[in-house]
Amino acid sequence: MDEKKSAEVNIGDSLPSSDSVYRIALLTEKELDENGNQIPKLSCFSLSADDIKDNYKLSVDWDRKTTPEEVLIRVGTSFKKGKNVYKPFDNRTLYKLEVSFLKQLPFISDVIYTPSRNNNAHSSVCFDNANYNYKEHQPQILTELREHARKFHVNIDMEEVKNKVEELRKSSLESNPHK
Amino acid sequence: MISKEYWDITRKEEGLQIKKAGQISDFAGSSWYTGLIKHAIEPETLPPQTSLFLDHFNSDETYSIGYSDEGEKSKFLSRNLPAVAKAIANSKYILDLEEDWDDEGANATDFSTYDRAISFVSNYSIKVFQSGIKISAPTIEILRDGSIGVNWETSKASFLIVFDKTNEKISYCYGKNKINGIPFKTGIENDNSVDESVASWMKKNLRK
Repeated sequence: MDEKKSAEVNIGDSLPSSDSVYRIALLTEKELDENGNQIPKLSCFSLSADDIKDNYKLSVDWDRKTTPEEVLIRVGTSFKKGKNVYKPFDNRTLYKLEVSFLKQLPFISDVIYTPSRNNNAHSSVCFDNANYNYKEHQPQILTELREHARKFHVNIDMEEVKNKVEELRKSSLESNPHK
Repeated sequence: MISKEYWDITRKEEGLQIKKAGQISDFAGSSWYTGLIKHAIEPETLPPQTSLFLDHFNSDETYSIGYSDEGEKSKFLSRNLPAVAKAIANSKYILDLEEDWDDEGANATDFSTYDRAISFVSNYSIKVFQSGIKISAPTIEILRDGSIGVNWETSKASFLIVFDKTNEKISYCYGKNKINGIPFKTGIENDNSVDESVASWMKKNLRK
């Protein structure tokens, strides 16, 4: 992690074009394209109704602030929506998206740094709905993002993720025995 | 008043297993069976795995299978385009997905959206087949807002159409010829008709 360089980027700032972001995807049965690359599901790059309400933003993690393993550890140590049940982490994978690629797409206005309390790497890909109606351009958006991402499937040390998630879940239970 | 019912039928050694909305049903011999007989479809002649859509007319308690001639379309696809029929069969799980199905806030779909997507696959596959070309099988996927995406990928081209859960009237699509890079972009009305420009593009680019 390059702390000196990342210190130049503040909350809400545009991410450097030389960097990349990670997008979490549900792991599915292996489907390969003609070049042997794993094809991500379309849903991986689509927005939920809440994302649309939140100004058409797709959540990603900035690679300068996190490792791929840390991304999945965060998943495995957070709860499902409205439930006291941990999210599964071993049914997920990651794809990398280059910030320079994202920024040159006409329907993306910017890729900005939006850290949260639990995730210092959190960033957002902002779709330009005002000039490029998201719903109308959605088939092109999903096609272009998936075409790019399939070249950058990320290798993850799942053993490291599993051990760390188990350790953190255990320590959370010890400090909050009523969970 | 018409209400649609959705059934999954699997042929097992011990006989036909009927599932309604993911639950095994003991309705054999009643409504679904009446529907089959009414349409002169012998239950035993159904493909090993198939699905039926029943329109239930509450007023006179009669039944018809599927939306319009869907029973006939299913049979036609199974016979002539089995890979397309299989893609449809493999997509049925989408209707069983509940809110937050990805644990990240994704939305469930509804029957109407799924219905539009499946009608598109059936209508356009059959239309292209009628001009002597077998189209490759699509993948049918749920998107995170509950919309449905239908995607074809061949060595020559890709094509994606999204059936928006919040827009019953129009669906947008995007195709791209991988060899010359020329895009194809349009919107179609969800009125069960076939748009000739879309069918023509599919015919040229999505051949099996």
